[in-house]
Amino acid sequence: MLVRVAYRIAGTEEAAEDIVHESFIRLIEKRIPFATLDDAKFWLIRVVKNGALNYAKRKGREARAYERWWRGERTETEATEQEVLRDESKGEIRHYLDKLPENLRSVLVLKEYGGMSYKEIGKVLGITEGNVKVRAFRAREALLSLMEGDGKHVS
Amino acid sequence: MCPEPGLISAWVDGEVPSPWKERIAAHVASCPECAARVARYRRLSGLLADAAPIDEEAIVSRIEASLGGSLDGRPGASLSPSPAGAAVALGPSREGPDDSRTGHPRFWGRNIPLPLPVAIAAAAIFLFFAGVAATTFIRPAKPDIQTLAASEIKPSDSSQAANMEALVHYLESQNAQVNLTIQLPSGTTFDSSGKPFVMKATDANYAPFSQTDTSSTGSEP
Repeated sequence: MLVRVAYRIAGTEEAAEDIVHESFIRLIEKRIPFATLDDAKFWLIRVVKNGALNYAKRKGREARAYERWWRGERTETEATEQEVLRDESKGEIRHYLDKLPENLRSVLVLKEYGGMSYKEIGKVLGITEGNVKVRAFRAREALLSLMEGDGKHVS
Repeated sequence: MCPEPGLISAWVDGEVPSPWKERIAAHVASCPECAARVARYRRLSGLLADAAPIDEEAIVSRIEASLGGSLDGRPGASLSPSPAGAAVALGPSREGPDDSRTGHPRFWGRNIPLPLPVAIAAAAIFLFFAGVAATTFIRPAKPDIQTLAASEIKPSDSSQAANMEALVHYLESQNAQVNLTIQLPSGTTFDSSGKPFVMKATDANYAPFSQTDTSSTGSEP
């Protein structure tokens, strides 16, 4: 589940593996005395989630920097082709998931890919169950309107 | 009257308790608008689930291997809160969330059944790991909680060092519940560079205070 959550946020299998691996290492090295196994579990999930979000943020920044440089390098026709290719990726739901604000994305990923209950998600994120419920709802609506805004018919 | 969309969303997630759960179910069955909303959310969940599946098990095994996995014959620790639950939760699982964990039916369940021996093996591996993890760093929470806030230290007052030592010795000798509050200075003391002088509290990793994972530090403007 950790790997799935990491993958859905970070985007690649390699990144997911690294993030989860590193999170376990941190758990072992820090020797934090958790009161219960659940506490350890939630800590670990939180660390993985944050690691994946940070990775995605970093990658996004790098990608945008490359984009800016690349657009400068290309001629106009080549640039348009690139844009068409990029639009293909819009078919991927991941493209839209990445556009969600982090706090909404986290809840949705933990729910849909982590299979966690609102209560558990609340423990991982340090928010109330009610807050999780609202965020899950908002995340869904935001994702749907992003997709439908791009003409992706959902239902 | 239709339930709020947020409530429908929670209901789709199986998070609404009885008796409202059944009432909403009845309403959805007879209300086209709400039924459409439900279908929309479920379709979204389906799209999310379908997107680019990965070989989670392979990745997990690689991680385990590189974490020093001689997970051999170490007996799964008999701890309580459901190590099996944690194991299944954190280990590789089928596409789609695990039914038994959350305890309620999945509406969009695309549970691709994993061959049973593989599922057992995966669960067993993680049970070992959870056991290792648990024996390594689960310690039952003790009732004493020690909180340190910032304390006031004047640069010229060298006797403060001695006081801190005495304080530390005192705390070390205590095993019972100790509530320690140190008042923040009501005024402010500035050192020569103009920064208010506060002292960082003891690092929470220092042995006598390690029962909770809290550490407070003095604030800086």
